[in-house]
Amino acid sequence: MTGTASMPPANTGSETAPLPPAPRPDDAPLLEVNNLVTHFPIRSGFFKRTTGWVKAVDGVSLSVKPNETVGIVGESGCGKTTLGRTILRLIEPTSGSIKVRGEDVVAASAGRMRDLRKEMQMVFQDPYASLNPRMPVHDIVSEPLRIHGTPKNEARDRAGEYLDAVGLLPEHGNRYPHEFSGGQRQRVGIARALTLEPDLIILDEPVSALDVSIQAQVINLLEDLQDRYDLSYLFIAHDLSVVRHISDRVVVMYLGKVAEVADRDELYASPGHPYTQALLSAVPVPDPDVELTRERVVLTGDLPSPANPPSGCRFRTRCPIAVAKCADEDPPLAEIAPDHWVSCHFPSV
Amino acid sequence: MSLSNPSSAAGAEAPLLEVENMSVGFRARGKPTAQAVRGVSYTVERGETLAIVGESGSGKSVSAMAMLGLLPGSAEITGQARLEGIDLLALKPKELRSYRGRRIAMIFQDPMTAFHPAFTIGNQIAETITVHGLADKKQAMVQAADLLEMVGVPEPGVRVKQYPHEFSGGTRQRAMVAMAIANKPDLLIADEPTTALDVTIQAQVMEVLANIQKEVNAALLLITHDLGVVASVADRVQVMYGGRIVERADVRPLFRTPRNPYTRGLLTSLPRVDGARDDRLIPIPGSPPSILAMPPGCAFAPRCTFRTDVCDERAADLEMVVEGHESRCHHNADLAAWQPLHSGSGS
Repeated sequence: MTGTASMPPANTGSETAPLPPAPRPDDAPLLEVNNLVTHFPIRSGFFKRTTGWVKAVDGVSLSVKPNETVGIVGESGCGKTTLGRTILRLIEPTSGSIKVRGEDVVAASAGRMRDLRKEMQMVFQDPYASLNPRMPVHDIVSEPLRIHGTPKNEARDRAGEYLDAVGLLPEHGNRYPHEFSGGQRQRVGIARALTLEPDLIILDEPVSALDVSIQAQVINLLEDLQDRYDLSYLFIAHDLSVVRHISDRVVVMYLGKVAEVADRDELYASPGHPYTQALLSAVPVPDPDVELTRERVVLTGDLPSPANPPSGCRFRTRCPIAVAKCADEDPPLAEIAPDHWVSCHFPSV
Repeated sequence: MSLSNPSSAAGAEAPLLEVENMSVGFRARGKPTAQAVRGVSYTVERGETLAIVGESGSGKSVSAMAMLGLLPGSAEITGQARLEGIDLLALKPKELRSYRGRRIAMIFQDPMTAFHPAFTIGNQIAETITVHGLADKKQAMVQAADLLEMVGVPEPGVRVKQYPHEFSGGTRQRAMVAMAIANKPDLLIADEPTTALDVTIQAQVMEVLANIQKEVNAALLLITHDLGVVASVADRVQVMYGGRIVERADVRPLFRTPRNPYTRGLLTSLPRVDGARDDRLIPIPGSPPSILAMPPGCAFAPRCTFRTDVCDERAADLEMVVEGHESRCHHNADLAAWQPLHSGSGS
């Protein structure tokens, strides 16, 4: 892991900490996110005055290396989707920095941003809602190229190549999205993300709307495409089994903050944060013998509102091992083992 | 009778629910009839948990909704569904109403749409009691608070007076469980009860549901696509594909030695959080058939690696392959030699 993950998460209200001068080795991260904060205003009353902030992303730092898959897991409302969209500046960040190959995305002008987006593409969760129903698939897939100035005929040919790459037939190009099954539609969404030859694809729950028997097809496709086109993935999902399968490194988010970061095997074998432990133990395993002998940490209560997060450690209201200190002090993200970072006063080692 | 299972044959008591050759089709003008359920037969014993597993379009939900008379008028339902000998499908709507919510209760996937937004939770739970004339309004409200307490909703006295939007997803689903058990039904039907919930909340709700089920000694018909949930709570499992039951067994043999190519395909295509399988996933090729254009023979044949000519001609029967384990496949004899799937505990 790189120095970027060692950045302590921003304490709410404090100014953004300066970046420590990090050397840029050969495997320098493709994407570096530092202390990223995205707050949404809550407006109420006749004059729509801002009466509070939803702290969707509240000081997140992470990095993605070339050819790496970083999984982001967390429950609904933890800010994982907002994080993905903020990285592409589909949502403007409140503060913090996003760098692609060292270049600042937040400060980029609109024109420069368009070039930067060639390097970062997104695949959305809902393949029904993210494809224009009135466009044939050829046009959907070639649209990014046309926007970036490729002549129409050439764009069409290139679209054909990428349809083939995702396992669709040439004649599929003339059809409309409603003529496809959910799995095929998601393939179209992936082909569209590929046409600009990006280095990084942000995948927001790419398989969760699909049937079980189709999920594995799309996961395998994503793995093949990663090898073929040297892609990096930021894989956002709530399904811990899928994330375990596809990721090299995993970031666990809770209420806008990073709870834990580690290599995949380390995280799943010896989770250090009580939240990660609870998450992993809550996932049912499709094996009755395993289920019989498993010990389950069942968390009490619900996720608190990100508009009014608990003081100190955000997980303390549901944490089985919380003590008084947890209400007072927000635990920093600390390295408990090499490349294993946990934000907890009492991490299991 | 093909629908009897070994436990009912041995025991003297008749099963709680007997579904016999139930089919459900939907008619639309200018279109062929969409055959969602095609000749389904099964039994549910008192107090047991039977899981119906299948993907979208497999007919798993429709077969349960039909029993409760919850399908639109365009549905054509044939066959029988006998609750202690009374055929629910033959009842008049008014007669069926006295069963629904009393002898049989349903837990829906989405608690936001299943509750009426303009009435308090307490009101709605109480209504399921008063509508059957089991208590007056005042007593029913007290019971509603007790029920919320049973399912672990904190401060039940306060929460009964709140509206659905004031409940979080998990608490709302608990309230739905409370409403379902209000009249101590014999049969609970849960249709994807935890699919809309986060994994930590899902664990809470499943725990509550399993405990409550034991407490009131209800049978649970659990309809889900989540094989993990099935493995953790079901006694028996039946797998549906293309409107038919393709495999049925006790939970352990079903997961350890699945006999149907579809079930086996499902299990090997799943990534696992416990890391028992880490190699490349083995997906099932193709996609499930449309109910408007079912293959003439075995519905799974176009995606099956064992397909032969006979599979395209006609569907196989659901046959007993070993005691208590049924599978619908023309190649049952060949597939008996399949190796059991690895157990995760061995890794």
